[in-house]
Amino acid sequence: MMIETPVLLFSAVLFLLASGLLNLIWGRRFPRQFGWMTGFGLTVLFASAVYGWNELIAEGELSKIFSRGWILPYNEPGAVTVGIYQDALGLVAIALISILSGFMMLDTLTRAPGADCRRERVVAAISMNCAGIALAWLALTPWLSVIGISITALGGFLALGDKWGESDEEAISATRYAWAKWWGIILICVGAGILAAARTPLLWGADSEWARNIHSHDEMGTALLFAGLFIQLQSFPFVTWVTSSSSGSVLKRVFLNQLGPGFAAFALLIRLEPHLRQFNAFTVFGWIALFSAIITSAIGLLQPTWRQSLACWISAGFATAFSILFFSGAPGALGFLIGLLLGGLILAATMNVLGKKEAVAGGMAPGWLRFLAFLGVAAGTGLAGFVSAVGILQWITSGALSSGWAAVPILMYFLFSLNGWSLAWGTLKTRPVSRVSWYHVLCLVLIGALSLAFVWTGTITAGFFGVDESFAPSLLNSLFLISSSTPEGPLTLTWAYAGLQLLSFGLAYWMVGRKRDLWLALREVFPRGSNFISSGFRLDEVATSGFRGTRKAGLWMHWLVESVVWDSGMARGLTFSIKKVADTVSRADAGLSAALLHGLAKTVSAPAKFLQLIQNGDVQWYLLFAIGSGAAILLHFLISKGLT
Amino acid sequence: MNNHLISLMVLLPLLGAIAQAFLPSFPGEGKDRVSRWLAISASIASSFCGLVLVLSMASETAELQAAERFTWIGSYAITYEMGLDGLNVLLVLLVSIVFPVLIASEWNRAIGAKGMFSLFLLLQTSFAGAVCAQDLFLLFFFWALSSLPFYFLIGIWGGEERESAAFRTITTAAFGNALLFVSLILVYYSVEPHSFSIRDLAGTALNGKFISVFGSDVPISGLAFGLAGAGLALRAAVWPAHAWFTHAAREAPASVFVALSAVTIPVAIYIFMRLSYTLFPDTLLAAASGIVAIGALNLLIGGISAAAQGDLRMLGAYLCMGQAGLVLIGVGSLDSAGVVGAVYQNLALGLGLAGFGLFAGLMSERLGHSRFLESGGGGLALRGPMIALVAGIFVASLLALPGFGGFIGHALIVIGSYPAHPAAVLVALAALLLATYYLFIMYRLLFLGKQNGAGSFTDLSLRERAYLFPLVAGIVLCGMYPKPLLELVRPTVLTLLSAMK
Repeated sequence: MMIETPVLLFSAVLFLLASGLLNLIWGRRFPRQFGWMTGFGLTVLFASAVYGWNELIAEGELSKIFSRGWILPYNEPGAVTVGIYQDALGLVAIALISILSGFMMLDTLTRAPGADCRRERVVAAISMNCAGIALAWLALTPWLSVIGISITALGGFLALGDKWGESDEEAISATRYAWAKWWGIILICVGAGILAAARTPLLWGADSEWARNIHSHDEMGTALLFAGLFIQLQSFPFVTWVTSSSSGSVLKRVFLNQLGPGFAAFALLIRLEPHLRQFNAFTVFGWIALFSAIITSAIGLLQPTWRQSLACWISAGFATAFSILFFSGAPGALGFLIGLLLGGLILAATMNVLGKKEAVAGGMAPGWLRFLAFLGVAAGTGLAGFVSAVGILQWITSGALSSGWAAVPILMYFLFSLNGWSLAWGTLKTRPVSRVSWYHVLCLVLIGALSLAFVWTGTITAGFFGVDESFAPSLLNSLFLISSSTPEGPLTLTWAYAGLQLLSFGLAYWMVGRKRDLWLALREVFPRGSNFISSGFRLDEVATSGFRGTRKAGLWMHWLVESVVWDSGMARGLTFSIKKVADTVSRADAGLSAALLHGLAKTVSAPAKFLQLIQNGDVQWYLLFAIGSGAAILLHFLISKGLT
Repeated sequence: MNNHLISLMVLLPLLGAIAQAFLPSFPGEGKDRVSRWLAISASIASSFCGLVLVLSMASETAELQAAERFTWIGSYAITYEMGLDGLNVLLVLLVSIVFPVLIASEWNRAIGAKGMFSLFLLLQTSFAGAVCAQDLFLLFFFWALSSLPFYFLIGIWGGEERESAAFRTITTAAFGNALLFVSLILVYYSVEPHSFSIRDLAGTALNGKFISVFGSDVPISGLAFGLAGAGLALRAAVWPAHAWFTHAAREAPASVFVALSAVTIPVAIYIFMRLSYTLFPDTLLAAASGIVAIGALNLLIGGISAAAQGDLRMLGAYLCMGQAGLVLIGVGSLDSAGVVGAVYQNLALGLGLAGFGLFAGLMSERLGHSRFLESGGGGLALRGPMIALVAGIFVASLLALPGFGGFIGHALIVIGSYPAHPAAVLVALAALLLATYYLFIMYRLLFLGKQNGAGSFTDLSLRERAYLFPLVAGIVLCGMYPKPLLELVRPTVLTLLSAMK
């Protein structure tokens, strides 16, 4: 009996999830066994994705669907349905993430024991992260996708848990991560619930049916959904978590806490885009994302450490991808996203050896490592030859020119590139690398190769400068079923883009590449202003005061209702009235008893006196009664015996 | 299907409780051993009957199943009438799961174990009876009976202020019961021939009937609905009549607090649903928005008050209050998804709160108190990974994480309630976001970060794992595969709603 491929894919995801849980629970006791299990799970997932794609090609199908009702019967209005959607886009995303997770596994397992205080948690986190992302991309409905996003977020929480026991700062960082992720998930669920109410279940590919069936509450549902997804991307105003302290590995933090959850959230965004484009909320969030990317980039430039700058760069990249999705659609956004994913990982791998900006001293990183850092930024910022150029060109072409707000995306892109190139130039100031395994090298080189344009766009230059040297059909085009080749902007715009790259590259060198880091100098000259910006405009403090206010309101309410109303008011009132009534009744009772007693005493006092007189009175009376009594007894005896 | 399983389920714990009284005293350490085993056996036997009942329920029918009917006090048309349908089946499951767990959690109780087990068994009987009763008098009998054991459980085994907490609990319950009883008597006398049978009274039996109050005609349906609602609100700790509940939460032993929060409140909401959907449909239609508003208010105030708490039990109490508000929103939505969600959430909430309450008790045992704000805890996940994991599951369910029981109820209530009551759903959303804030803070302060103090903190013992397992399994199963349970609930809800509309 042949197993259906969607079932096979889902089983592989479940296996990986189970291996994550087993690692979490028994991984410390049996590290080897469960480590292998996760490795096997990743391999099976990758193989399933490849097999699934081959099958689609062999059968000439675009997608396969395997759907089930989960909550309420299938196809009923308001039903919550889940299912697997096997298409090329999802399969490529799964294959990519399983490869990257495999590298992370190798990186984790080949580290010397003790380097990570809880290695099994990291392995569990990798399993869950990969399983969650795969599920998010395989899902046929938003609901299953949200489950995938949740599992990914849980993986990230476990990864932070690697350092839980070390300091309270790490614990606070983990809690803030959990808040952000969980708030996002709640908003997504409520948004999806509102959209699902009173209509047939939302399945991918049913956008035309969805468009015909508009409800008055759809705007609210869409807004909440996007708000939740936006929180998942951790851009401004939710950026402060990413800059919070963490002493763990940069690679792990970037992959498991930023890129993984963001990639999972984009699965839902890209799938939903055709369904929700018609709503105004979509436009609003496109612009919010754009401004958020600008602010996040500005925050990133003024961070005191490289890892914080990198975190902001990735967050700004996610916001940029969101706005690309709005301005130019899913293919461009996915192109940019893949560039960001791979570029971010390359940078994170190199940043693993960097410390604080102030602590730079002695020696240089090896040349190949510096080269890879520049490669990573080039991948993320879409320099010629890299996949994200497609997205950026599309974005600038369709967004910047058509909106009439051309300066805003251009400013955003400039700041984003400046931040990225500052990071790359920063690698010039590293300590000598002491411990780099072969797996690191392999990982970095393969990621670099994957990010090359010809894998994704089929060209070397990705259409840059109007040159299109095709090697193979564009993978992006086939994923989104677009027949045209890489969309290109006008040549002047392409030159403008190149100019922006050059300017940001040069300015980054001016600020960072020379002997003195001018961003740090800026922090020293304007400490308050810089701190204000780098702290995310003190939004954390505002939020904290808000929560403090809520707590105070809660305490006040608790005092008012329990102490004043119930304890003092109601309880005292009730006690007082009950006591009053009881006192009155008691007094009346006492009076009545006294009166009764008095009457009784009066009634019995005369005979009592008489009897008393009999007992202790004079002798005549005593004798008279004695004789009388004796006569009466005798008479009674005589009558009862003699007379009868 | 009628094997008198309902009667067995109801009476077995009662027999166990009575048997406790005749147990001889054994000297030495094992003096309570027989009592413990007797209690757990009676409770599990009853639960087994409950589980068999639930498993053998036919889905896709709204008919009353496993029905039993005998005349009890014939001259007043009072019958012993029991049965199961979609509205009460999940509560049978809840009672069946929770009570053996509570008895097991008190396994090592040193003082007065026999008495405590008897009272728990009496509670199991009374809740099982109240849930299954299809006669108003019988329902009231079991419901009123359930308030008495709490007085002793809090008053004898509670904290420093146990006497006042017990007194408040019993007086509030008595007042609530009195209001409910007046309502039921009003219903009884308003139909001819007089009847307490819910089936006989269902639908429009009370329509067009009035009673003269101070010279003006008041519809009996509205008056009885109001009295019953007020009486049940008192026992369900609906704001602002919740002070007794938070007081009891502070003073009661953890297991008793669980019985109060995880069973009493869901059962009170169930009785309200049963009465309002079957006896007062027209009044419910008119009052639906009010019920939703009360639910939203409860959610909001419960959420804000919970954010102010630094004690696990108080946190649990306000969380419970808020979550009960969410269920009320579902009840008032009058939409099939919303009402099914409310019924389902009653179960998920009960399991989640039971877990949370027991977790609070376990922390109290280990730390000597349940204050997490100034506990000096922290870093306990490293020393107690299992307790951290289990607490995480309970918190996740209460926060409606996908894959856990709470998610299904929350999702259905949102889907069902938003079209008619968008503001209430947005309030629920705000409350949930707030709950995430304070529950995560609690979790961090206890389990994450640097280890401070709590030198002898130990992880869950085998016994603790064993009795927490049914709750964890229930929460996960309810979250992963809700279909069989939802199929039991839906037909009844659809029938009731279609009859209403």
